[in-house]
Amino acid sequence: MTRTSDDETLAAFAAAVGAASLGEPDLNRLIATARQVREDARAVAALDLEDVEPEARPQVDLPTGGAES
Amino acid sequence: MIASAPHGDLAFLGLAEASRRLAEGGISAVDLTEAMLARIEALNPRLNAFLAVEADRARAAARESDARRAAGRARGPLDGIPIAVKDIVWRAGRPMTAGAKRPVVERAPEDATVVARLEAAGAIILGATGLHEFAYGVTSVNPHHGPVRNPWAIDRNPGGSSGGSGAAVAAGLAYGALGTDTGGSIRIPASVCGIVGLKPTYGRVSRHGVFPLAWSLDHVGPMTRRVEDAALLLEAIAGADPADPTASRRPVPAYASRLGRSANPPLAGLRVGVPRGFFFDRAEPEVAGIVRAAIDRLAGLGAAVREVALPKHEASVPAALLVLLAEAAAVHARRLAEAPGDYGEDVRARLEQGRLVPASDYLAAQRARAVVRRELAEVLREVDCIATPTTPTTAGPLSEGASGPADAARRAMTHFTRPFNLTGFPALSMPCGFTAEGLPVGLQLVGRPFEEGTLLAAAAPLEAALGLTARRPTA
Repeated sequence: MTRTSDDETLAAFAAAVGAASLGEPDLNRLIATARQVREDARAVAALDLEDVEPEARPQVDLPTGGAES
Repeated sequence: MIASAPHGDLAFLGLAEASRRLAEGGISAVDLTEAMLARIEALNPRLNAFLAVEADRARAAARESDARRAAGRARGPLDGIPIAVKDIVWRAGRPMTAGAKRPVVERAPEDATVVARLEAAGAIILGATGLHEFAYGVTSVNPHHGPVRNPWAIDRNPGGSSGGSGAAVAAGLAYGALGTDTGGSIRIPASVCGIVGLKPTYGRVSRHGVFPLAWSLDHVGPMTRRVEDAALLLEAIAGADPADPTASRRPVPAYASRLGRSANPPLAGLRVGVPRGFFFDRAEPEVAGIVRAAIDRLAGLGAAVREVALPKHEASVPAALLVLLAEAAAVHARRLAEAPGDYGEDVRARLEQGRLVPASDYLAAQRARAVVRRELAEVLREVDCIATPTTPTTAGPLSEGASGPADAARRAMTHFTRPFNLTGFPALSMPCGFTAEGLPVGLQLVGRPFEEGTLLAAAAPLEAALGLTARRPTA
């Protein structure tokens, strides 16, 4: 697996959070999965989240206009 | 094999039909329980649906049920009905493995609320069903307990994570089962095993005594062969619970009795939304075609079907994944640090991945939850439910292992289900057809919070129109 400078940052981060204590092959896997996390985060960041507060749980008790709500 | 196993006619009765026969006196709870136990003995070595069978306890409960009925004290429609429970749910005094290498608890201190409610309703617990390790995966190929097999094709997986519950119900080893669903773990096995699975609204069913995967995504719900049966089970397990602060205090509707109300045509007044893009573009063409045909049947039953747009929906998949990764890593932090070797490779990799989610990304995903919830709620002002394929494909081969064919494919398997764990809206999967290969395909109906009754009322006439319930697996 060819590592980029970005991957080296990920590897350092992985080591820092203690997720990379399992040797070189696992470090490569961690880098791959960290890349995926970054892709997911980028997809989420594409939404307009300005002025939106986090919902720690689904807010299902808000009225939605339905017959049973 | 399944077709030639004992007590086939009794085993494939719907739960509600078995209940009616119990009430009429034609059969007893002991009859039903012995039939299930005989079938489990005959078929479980092949399917691996149950991790633990509690025959003595089930027989004793069946005798007690028959005695209550004889004395005129039957407790309701579930009294005397054999049910299976996913092995991630506490049963007092019993071990609970969560599909892990070692039991998570050797002796559960009490029944989970859902089990206590089933037993209070007179249901007979047959035992604990198999699952993907810690419910963290969608194949139920378990490195510690062996793979659960799909009753429709023995060389395929039953989906997951509630694969044992799905296989047990599909093969006629139980009249219903409990599953849990964090990203599709009730609906995916329901879809690929050809049964009904209902992920209720977040908070509709207590999670007390259920081992968590991700607190803000976890749901407990019924898996059955018929829509009416799911309604009966949901009625029994839903409702407020002081032991679970997320359990809603809203009254529980009489879901099953509402199904009896007939209109002409049956679905007159129901508005069904079909999302453009995403769901149907990503499903295999044969699956998409079968689901579209089922939606046409909804229209034929009187529903008003129209296209709807959910442009922000696609972002809900990565958002839900980030929440799942982070919360699951937190749930397992101590266990993973102390005994990383106890985990299967695929689950350990996901837990390690979860440690790499920055807090800022976790919070961004929670903000995304608000955005996609609002969009979905807005669409559900215009329609009463949304119809999609449950999964993009049918059951995968066992040979693909625990992770499935590749990480991308595993992620795709949950793309249609996972968003509704993030929003907490109720979603039901029901069989809607079979591929040329004979594999089941599921239709997913998604509704407004606490409107499980709308989904069940839409599904029941479609089930009758499709006429698939007599078809039995042959693996």
